[in-house]
Formats: sequence, C-alpha cells, structure tokens
Amino acid sequence: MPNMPLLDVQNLTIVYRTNAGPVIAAEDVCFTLERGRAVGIVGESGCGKTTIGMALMGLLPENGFVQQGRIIIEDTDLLSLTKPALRALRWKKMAMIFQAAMNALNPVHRVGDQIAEAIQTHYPDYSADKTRKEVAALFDLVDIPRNRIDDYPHQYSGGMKQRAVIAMALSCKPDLIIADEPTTALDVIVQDQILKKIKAFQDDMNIATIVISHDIGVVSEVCDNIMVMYKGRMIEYGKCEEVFMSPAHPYTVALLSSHLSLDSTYDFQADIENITEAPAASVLPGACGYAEKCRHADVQCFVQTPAWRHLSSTHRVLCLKVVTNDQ
Amino acid sequence: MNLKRMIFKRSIEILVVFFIILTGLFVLFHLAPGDPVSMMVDLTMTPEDVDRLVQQLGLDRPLWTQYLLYLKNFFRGNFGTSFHYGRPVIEIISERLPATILLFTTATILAAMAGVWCGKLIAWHKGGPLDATVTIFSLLCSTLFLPWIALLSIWFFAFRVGWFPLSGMITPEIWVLPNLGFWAKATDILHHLLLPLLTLCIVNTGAYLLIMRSSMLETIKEDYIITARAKGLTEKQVRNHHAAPNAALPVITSVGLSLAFSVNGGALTETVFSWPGIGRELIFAVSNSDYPLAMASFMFIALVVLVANLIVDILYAYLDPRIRY
Repeated sequence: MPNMPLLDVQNLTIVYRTNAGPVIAAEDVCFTLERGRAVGIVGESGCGKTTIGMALMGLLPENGFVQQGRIIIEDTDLLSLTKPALRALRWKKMAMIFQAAMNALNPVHRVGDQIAEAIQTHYPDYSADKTRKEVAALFDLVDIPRNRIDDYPHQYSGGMKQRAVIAMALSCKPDLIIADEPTTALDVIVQDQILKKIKAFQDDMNIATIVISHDIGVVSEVCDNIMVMYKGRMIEYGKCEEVFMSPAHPYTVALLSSHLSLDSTYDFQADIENITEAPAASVLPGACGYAEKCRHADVQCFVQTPAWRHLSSTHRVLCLKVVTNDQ
Repeated sequence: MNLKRMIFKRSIEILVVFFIILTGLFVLFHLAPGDPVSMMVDLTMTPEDVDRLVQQLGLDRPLWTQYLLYLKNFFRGNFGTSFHYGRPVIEIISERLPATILLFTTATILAAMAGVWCGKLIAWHKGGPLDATVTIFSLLCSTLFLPWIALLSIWFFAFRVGWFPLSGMITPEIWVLPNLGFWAKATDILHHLLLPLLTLCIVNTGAYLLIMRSSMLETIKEDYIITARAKGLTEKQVRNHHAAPNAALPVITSVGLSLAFSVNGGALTETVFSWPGIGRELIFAVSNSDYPLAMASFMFIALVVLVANLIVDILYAYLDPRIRY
C-alpha cells in the first residue's frame, strides 16, 4: 500500500480502576496519522488527552488498562507486545516531549548524560565518544550551547529545559513524537520558538507528531488535523482550517471563542460560564456528555447516543444537533 | 570547583561552631557545682597546700585569663591529667575515641546502606506481602529499646551459642603474645565488634528503611521517572539510576542527624557491651568529677559529630547538584 499511515488508532477505550469503580478515561478513539503530519488533541483538563498519549507510549499508570481497541504503529500492534519488546520500541519508534516545567529531567543527573542514556539504551554498540558526539549534535539542533552539556537541569532556564527535552525526544530518531503540553509553562516568546522547532523537525525529519494541549492556539500553529475531546470522547475531528473556520460541535464553538480574538462577534461570555466547571471524566452515560451544558441540547441529546456525522470527507462531528448542509 | 568552595565554606562554619562549643563548655564547667580542687584535697593537706594547688591550676586568676589559658592549652593539645587515672587525658582519649568511631560509623554506614537497599526494593513492590512484612518488622525493630536487645543478643549469641565473646574489644590474653601480627589483631577486634555491630544495625536499619521506602514512594511519582521509563530503560535501571539517588537524599540527612544521637545513646551500648569507647568514659568521668577527662571527652565528641556532619554534607552535595551553591 502506497500511503499507509504510520499510526492507526482504532476504537481505543481506556479505563482506570479507581476506588469508586471503573472510570472510562477515553472512549472509542479513532484516528490515523501519516509521516510528516501532525494531529492536535485539544480539550480541557481531565478529558483524556494525556491518557491517550500515555497509552501510545505504553505507559499507562498501573490502574489503567486498554479495554478495547488497537494501536498500530507501522505493522506492529503495540498492545500485543511483551514488555521487553515494548521497551525496545519506546523512544526509537515513538518518543515523548514532556512538559519540562514538571520535572521531566532528573535533577541529579547531567542533562547531556540523560540524553546519552537514551541513545545508549537503544544503540548499545555506540562508543562513549560517538554517543557524546550525537548529544553535541542534538544540542546544536535545538540551539543550546555545547558547553551546557555537562550542566544540571537546575542550571537551565525554562526554555532551555524544554529544548533539552526536545533534544532528548529526537535522540533516537523516532517516527512518532507525542508532545504533551509542550509549551504550557513557557512565556509566549519562548512558546513560539519551541513550536517553530517542533514544526521544523516534523517537516525536516518526516516525523509524525501528536500535540496534546488545552490551548487550541498552540495546536493550530503546528498541526494539520485537530481532534477535540470532551469527557473522554472525541467529539470533533477535522482539518485545522475546517475546525477553525466552521466549528460544528457546540463545545468546539465554545472552546474556540474562549480563545480570545479581537474580531470575535460570538457571545462567548455565556459559553465560558457554561464551561468553567470542568467535571472529571467519571460521568459517562451513553448520551452526549456535553448535553447538560449545551445551549442547543434538547431531550433527544440526553437519551440518545450521538453518532458521527460527516461534514466533509475529512471533517466529522459527534453531535445530534448538527445539520449537515451539503448532502 | 563549586564543591570545593562549598567544602571550604562549611569547614569555616564548623570551626566557628566548634569555637562556640569550646566557650560553652568552659562556661558550663565554671557554673557547675563543686570545684576540681575539692576533688584533689585530702585530709593530710594543709591550707597552704590547697592554696598552692589552686595556684597551680590557675584557679586564682581572673576568669578571662583562665579562658585564654584554656584555649591556649586546647590548641597545644594539653588537656591536663586525669584525676582518676593519673595519666595525661590525651592518652586516654586517643585510646577510647577510635573504638567509638570504629563501632558507630561502621554501624551507621552499614545500617544506612542496608536500609537504602531494602527500602528501595520493597517500595518498588509496594503493597505485596513482602512489603507488608518488612515494613511491620522494621517498625518493630526501630522501636526496640537498644540496651534490652543488646542484653538479649549477648545472652543468646555470646552466652548460649558462644559465637561471640561476651564483652570488650580485644582478648587481652592474645594481645600479650609477643609476635602477634596485624591480621591476628584485626580478626580479634572484628570478632568482638560483630555482636554490638549487629545489635546496632538491627535497631537502626529499620528507621533508615522506612525513610527510604516512603521517600522512594514519593520519588516514583515524579515526572522524570516517567521520562526514564519512556526512554525504554528497564525497570531496574529506572529504579537504581533514576529513583534511588533522589530518594536516598532524606536518608543521608537523617544519618547526619542520628550521628549526634548515636554518640549519646552510644554510652549505653558501650556500657552493655563493655566496649572501651569514649561515651562510657564520659559517663565515668562526669560521675567521678574527673574534670579534665570529662571536658576533653565533650570536646572530642563534639569534634567527631561536627566532622561527621561535614562528611554527610559533602556526600549530600555530591549526590544532589542543587546543593552545591
């Protein structure tokens, strides 16, 4: 097959066992991703976006498990792998850019050593010298001076830490990079630099990228496609332009309008009031999770399970109220 | 470079603290009831003899002159003569101090290492039957009254089973042999050392283990542990290379704190095992009003604790780069 996607996620449902019973963190998530493309997952805290990222790395917490679905990278079904096989794939096939402000770097080891560790895990035949050269090249790539290789994380600024984390993610030349809130703790100028870096590597190295963020602006800058999530469900998926120009789901509309823009005529105040309280993903009836807060909801929305409606070949939405205009 | 500056800074601090301790000791001994002269006086002495003694000891001079003299004597290594033994105090100290250092530093290091190692492993398998057993056992051990378990272990291992000698640090009959080699001496000391060492370790390991376990459980939640796993490291690498070095830091702190207490509590241990250490000597000197010996014992115990804390600080800075300010 000529244009086979690198990543194929099918009907992924992830459940956490908690003391209060099982909680569905992600339900029936489907998407594909080709090399060199980027998809953004947006949604509020607790909507399940990070859970999906962790599942792709095979790093769900102990109480989390995949109830159904498949994650296929190239020809490999991630969920069927043994632990050692999965470990061998991690970082080489799929790497992760963590939010550096959240201590993604170990404070007691030198930054360079932490990157070298990743390289030596996956290329054990590399000499110390060769590994060192690779690390230096990675530092050049993300614009950190080479003389900072032997510094410790606490000697770095926030932006440098984030760039070091990116260098680490690139160290084993992965096919897929998952960036979980890559710029959340950074100021806008550094944020812009980091996003440009991610974008550049995605294009230059033909890496597929998943950007997880609550900030729809960040996603729109880097991504080709956007997936909007609410309470563990994908509710809208489409090309960036489509979702931005003609958001279909009432939640997406509210989310977009909360991202302030000067020429917005939408009465976002009412919707912001509606979405201020972000409930955990614990209540999940079959019906639309947003029905309680939706301005357009009627009785049907509370009882009927919504089905996907296609607005175009690439744009789909999970809402009963959306009118598909063209067909 | 940074580490060196830190060591230099801490050394200066320690000198200052030690100077304060010296001064405090001087004041304390002058405030204490009774005076050294009354200890040395006997009925055969005339009042002139007593006056001469007071003069000899410099007790008739103004207090600040006495203080300066005291400091001068300290820095010259002149600690006077023990009332009880009639020998220079420095001789007695140099016999006793190494015995204490040998027993307690070995015990502390072994207990800390065992605690870190076990705590690391059981935290990794949290919630299992091993975790529960070890945790309860450690709690039990760390609450044991040391002299009690010491007597019990002497009764069992030394008296009933006969694996270890009953008391002391050496076997005098062996040491009087003319051509006794170094290894024979070392083996003899080790043989005497094992039982007190074991007892101290039983009591101390539990505490370190519990600290390490809870610290490890906190560390496991850190983001860099997820990073390490995501990099494809094995669980063992994640545990030993990423979690343990961070989790061990509170244990190091607690080693530093407990060193001071171990010398205090050491007096009891030394007494029970008849270990010829400085803690036992100190109690003897204080209860017999052997002023020069008591004073010197205090000084050297303080010095040992300060130096031990310096070493702990250096170790901490070595393990945690954020400390090397």
